[in-house]
Amino acid sequence: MTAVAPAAATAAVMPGGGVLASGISPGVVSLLPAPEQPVGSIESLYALMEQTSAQQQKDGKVAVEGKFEAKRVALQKFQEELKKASEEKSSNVFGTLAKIGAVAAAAVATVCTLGSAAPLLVGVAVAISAGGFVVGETKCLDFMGEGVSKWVGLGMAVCGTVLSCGAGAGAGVSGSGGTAVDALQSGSTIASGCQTVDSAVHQHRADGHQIEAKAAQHQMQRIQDAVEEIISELQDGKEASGRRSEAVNKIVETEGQTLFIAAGGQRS
Amino acid sequence: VIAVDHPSSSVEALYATGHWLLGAERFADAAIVFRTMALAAPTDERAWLALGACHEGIGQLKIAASLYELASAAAAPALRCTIARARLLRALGRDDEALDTFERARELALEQGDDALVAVVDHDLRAAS
Repeated sequence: MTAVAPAAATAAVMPGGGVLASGISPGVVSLLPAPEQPVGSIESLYALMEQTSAQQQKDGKVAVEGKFEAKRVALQKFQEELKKASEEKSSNVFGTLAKIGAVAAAAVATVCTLGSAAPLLVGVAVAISAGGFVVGETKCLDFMGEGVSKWVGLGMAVCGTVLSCGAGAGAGVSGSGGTAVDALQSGSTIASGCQTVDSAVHQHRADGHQIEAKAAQHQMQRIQDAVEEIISELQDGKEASGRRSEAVNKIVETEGQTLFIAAGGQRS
Repeated sequence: VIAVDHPSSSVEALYATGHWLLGAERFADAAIVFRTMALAAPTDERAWLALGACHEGIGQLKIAASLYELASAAAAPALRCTIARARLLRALGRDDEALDTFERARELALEQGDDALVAVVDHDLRAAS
């Protein structure tokens, strides 16, 4: 990484000269180094597309074999923790959710990745990112509030801890197909569990805090909807594969446009 | 969604493409590219930094902050992401956290002997004070 510049006072200026919208915090993009190669390596992208397809087929076969057992064990562990947490009758909804989420994430990380949690970490992060765009460019996940952000952050922190104690971020990344999908499915389980806990807490505090509990319940519903939407987006392997190909095709098309512009043409 | 190792040329092609899209403020398209890059090369800090920038571009600041934070585990030490997070925290009005994060970024920059980034952090710290 090379080019950096001190933060601009008003707008984020990219090394390439582009200026981003004022919505970007000052200077963030100036941290992005300039690409080491120009836009236009179409051959590399085709190679990427081909490799991804081959890797998917290979990983899919391996992943399916262990998937159901891993899910069963993870779900069992999660349900046990859920039961314990419900019995605690915590007055802090998000605190309880964080605990449940952390335990489930740790269990899933251990069970599904057999010690290498890097794919889970990456999968969760990418899913959160994708979820943000699934929800919409203006209706961002941030509306869910600080508590949810902390919950998500804690889940990530747990993944990070597992990762740092495990095989390392770079190791064991290959050949772990389906893990991110497992994580998402577990995420759905967590969301469902959270709603159960939410209901329990709601009941427990119904006398004095009905409004607060209802708000929390709505937030949980939103989380679950968002997670389920992500899952439906990614779960169908065939469609997902098509979307990936479509995404790469889009990239190739963009590169084509860029080359055309670079050659002196006008963007369509 | 599969995390796999890809030849660096493919990763560089993705980064170049995403960078171009980000410069054109096509945040959703850029995010698709950078997510692909993050899956292909999760230890490459640029993917997380750029993905965070995409979310900042559409106003999802908390998601961006989470992605920058996550980079410190996935692509350690992720110095640039640390700086980006500090700037974001400052923009969110979380000044104490921002200051701590800037200090940590400065330590990392010094450890790595990256004078350019030390200068960047110093500039930010002066602006913050």
